[in-house]
Amino acid sequence: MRPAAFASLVLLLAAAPAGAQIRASERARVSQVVDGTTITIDFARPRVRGRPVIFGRAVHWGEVWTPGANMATTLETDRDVVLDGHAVPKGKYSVWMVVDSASRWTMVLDSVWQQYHEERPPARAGQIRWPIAPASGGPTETLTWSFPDVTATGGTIRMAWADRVVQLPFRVTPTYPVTTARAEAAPILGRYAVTWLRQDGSVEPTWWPGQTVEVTYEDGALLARWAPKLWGPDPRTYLIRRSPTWYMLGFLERGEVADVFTEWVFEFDVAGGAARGFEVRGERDLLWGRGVRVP
Amino acid sequence: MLSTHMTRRGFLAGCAAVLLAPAPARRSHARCTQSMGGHPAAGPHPTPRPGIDASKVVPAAGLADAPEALPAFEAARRIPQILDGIRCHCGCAEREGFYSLLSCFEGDGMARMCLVCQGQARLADRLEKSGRSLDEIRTAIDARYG
Repeated sequence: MRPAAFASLVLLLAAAPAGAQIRASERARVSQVVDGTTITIDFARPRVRGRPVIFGRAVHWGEVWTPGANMATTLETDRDVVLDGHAVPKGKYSVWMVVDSASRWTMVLDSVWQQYHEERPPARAGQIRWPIAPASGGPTETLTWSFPDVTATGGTIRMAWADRVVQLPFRVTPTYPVTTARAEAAPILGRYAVTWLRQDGSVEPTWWPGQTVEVTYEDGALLARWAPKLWGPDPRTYLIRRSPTWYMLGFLERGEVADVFTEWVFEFDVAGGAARGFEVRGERDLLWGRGVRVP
Repeated sequence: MLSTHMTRRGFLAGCAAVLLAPAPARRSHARCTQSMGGHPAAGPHPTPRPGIDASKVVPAAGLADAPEALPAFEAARRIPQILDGIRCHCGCAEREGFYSLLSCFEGDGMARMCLVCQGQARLADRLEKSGRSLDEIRTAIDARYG
């Protein structure tokens, strides 16, 4: 090769972006954080490309199929989660679906996560398996994994391709569990008159004047009912345990914790088996308010 | 009267703006965890260094731009041996040269602008005054800020 031609070739090769390559099924990754738990799905995206039938023909009935292409789709979670009612310990899994028929599949998470799509794993130890029922949907041209809805405690993972949709609800491990043992809750129960304070220690008359809070124990959790209410539509908050006598507020939306208000801590003064009252302390440990037990 | 539409953190921000204005250190409202990218602050509490004292804690004269931080620095000067046994939960424990919560109050440590550093020192001070041990103070700080 003449030097000039060789130099041109080198320039052409150098101009191509490193790793650039057109693939029939491009790689993709979706990730969602819920209450500190990150769930990531890494997958390739096959397209229908005019094929009239995918499930039952391109993907045969009875086939162990990775919902993706090329290297098996993976699901990784950095904390334990409950997926479609099944405990999934933190870790990385290859994702498979046994496509038995149009309406009856089996979900498989295999702890061997680095596998080619034709290395279809048999049922074996280290797998989490459960039956799933795909729904009709679409048409979806390009296989898609997504998180169509997210709540404070979980959400839904959705896989769609061609005329089939699989939806997998999940729940994360809460950073702040709402449950409190009955024995620890007992001294806290009761009604308190609340006074809010300015930072100079004087009473702040414009913040919820005449407020009371009634603390009850329901379904293993401490519920505080504020009158007048604090913020948001629900007059109730959870009291979320930080120590046997310290609690934070958990605000509710549609019956579940939507926000833990870590800026304040309620320090109950327990003596003789019952709290006499509480102090509200802010992030800088300043005193924001007081509660005194009332009959 | 409070607006029923006011958000929780909007309320706090409004309170802080009223309470601290016109103090120039409005930057202090940011939590260190946010300014440092929200690093988790898990880890063991340090062992207080023998003979540690408050000689490196920034004096009051050096806090003219952060008057709201003065009580926390006073706490650091009063109980350096306690603060030296506490791992800071704001995220600054990952910084080079950091040893303990006391480090946050020395030199250009971030306690002058960090609510969490200040809160931990004030909580430690309050609990120490009520007779709590270092272990009890650590437990309380973990419960509050961990």
